[in-house]
Amino acid sequence: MSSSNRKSQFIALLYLVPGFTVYSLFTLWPIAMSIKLSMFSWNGLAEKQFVGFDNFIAIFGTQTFLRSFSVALILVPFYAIIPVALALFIVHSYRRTRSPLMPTYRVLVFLPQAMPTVAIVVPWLWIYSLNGPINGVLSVVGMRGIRRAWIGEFGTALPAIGVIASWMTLGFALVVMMSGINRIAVEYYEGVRVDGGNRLHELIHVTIPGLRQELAVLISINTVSALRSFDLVYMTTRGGPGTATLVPGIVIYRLAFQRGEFGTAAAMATLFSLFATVTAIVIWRAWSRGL
Amino acid sequence: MMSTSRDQWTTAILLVISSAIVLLPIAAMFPIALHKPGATVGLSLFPDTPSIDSFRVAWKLGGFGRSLYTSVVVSVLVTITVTSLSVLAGYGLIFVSTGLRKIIKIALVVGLVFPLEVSIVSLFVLVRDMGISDTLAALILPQVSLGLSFGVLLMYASIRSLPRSVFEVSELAGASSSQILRYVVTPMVTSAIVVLIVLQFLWTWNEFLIPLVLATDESLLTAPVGLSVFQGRRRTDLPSLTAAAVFVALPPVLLYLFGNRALTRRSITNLLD
Repeated sequence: MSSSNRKSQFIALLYLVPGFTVYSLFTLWPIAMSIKLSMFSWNGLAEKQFVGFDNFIAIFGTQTFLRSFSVALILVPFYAIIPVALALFIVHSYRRTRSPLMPTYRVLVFLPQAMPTVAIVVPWLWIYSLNGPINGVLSVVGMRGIRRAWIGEFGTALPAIGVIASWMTLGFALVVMMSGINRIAVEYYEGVRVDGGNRLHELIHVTIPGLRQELAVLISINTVSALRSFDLVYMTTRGGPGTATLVPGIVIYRLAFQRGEFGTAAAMATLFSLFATVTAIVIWRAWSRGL
Repeated sequence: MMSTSRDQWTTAILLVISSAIVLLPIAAMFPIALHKPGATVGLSLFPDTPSIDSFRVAWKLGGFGRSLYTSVVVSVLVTITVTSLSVLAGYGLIFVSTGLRKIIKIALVVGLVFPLEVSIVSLFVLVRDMGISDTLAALILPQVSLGLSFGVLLMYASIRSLPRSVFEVSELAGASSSQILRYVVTPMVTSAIVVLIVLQFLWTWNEFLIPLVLATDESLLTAPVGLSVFQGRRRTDLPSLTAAAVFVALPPVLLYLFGNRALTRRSITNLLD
């Protein structure tokens, strides 16, 4: 290596030092420490005690873990399937349209993504309230009997939160797919029509294959969002009533910051992150290879 | 062309319905907040006598003057830091050896893939042991770090896409690496920088878990955390809670609507330059 080359390498490193110092200290180090911490028993203050995989074994034995696991899985279709399917159906009908209103539309449906989750769930507290529009409609159609406080009852709280999640994700799915569908040449659709195909054929043979990348991204990102949901639940039910909406994020938060069981919290966090990451990669692979 | 005009009608109807689904709950926030504090918001949605008392109550009891100020300070500082560190590191990445570049990119992707839930437990311990609990630094540094994964990768990708000759010509002209960055590279990637600034500001403003855990002192609540605290205090006061939510959501919404226009205009001015 010539000396001028070595000098330019050194200068290049100088540009990286400030960013990488912060990043190592506040991202890489904590990740490593959390994984290490998951094998210790620690209340945050006293001496740490090495316990090996005991934290993980203990977690698997608790009702809370299994419950939060299943709550997270129930939320997955609300984040990753319902809004994506809806958006696919809607965007499919835009396939031949180059409306001048599209840019404005895109800005508007993306709006919820720009707002804090804790703020946009607030109107839903009204929508689900006893005097809200859902119960109102039920009264009008003569189904007064099933009126209720939707997020306050054990049986309906989780799907009610799921619907909010679907609503939050819909605009994101719409925008991602709209940019994808603009890439699909109109000739492909004409080809299907010439062969006597209908809308459904166009959807199956042109739109879905053409949007494969977008679908893979949306489904894997939204699955991870479902497993990680925290803000939404914290602001609406804080995990209740009972364990109805007890997502892993809330369990980890309570373990670490309310009960001071740092080791168990770290083990739980490690387990869920691993699960979320692996799930995302599997879905991504399955979509981009198969189909 | 019967089918085409029918298609266009379907499209128009779906455009209206889908944007209504997305926007109506947000739009409903204003009439809800115009009820008197503590009032029951019924089916009619619009109050008989609109009042701004709920906004007053939210502002006074929720301490939003202070928490909005904290959010502005934190978001501005995090955005400036992430953007400058990302430009520097993205530029530096162009020149390091291939092997080192690969390692650094993998390290950045780790931060992008690993959910914050893993590190938050240790982050809490780290911040405490550094003695910066309940300071602005505890809010800023972890969020800068969180933003760097995306920021550096974005800036690296935009700088790499510039033609090689840009660097060669500048070097021949005798420009130092910092001069090339300042006078040649940065002006050529302004659109990516604007995108990063807008996104990073929104992400920081909307972040909930980090400020919830790392800054619990009343004087350091960010606006979203302040909103959740206010909700705990006035559980049954939907109008005031909604008014508070409007305060918290308005700044990022304005930036988003403004930023969107800036983004499209930017591409036009780029052509004119």
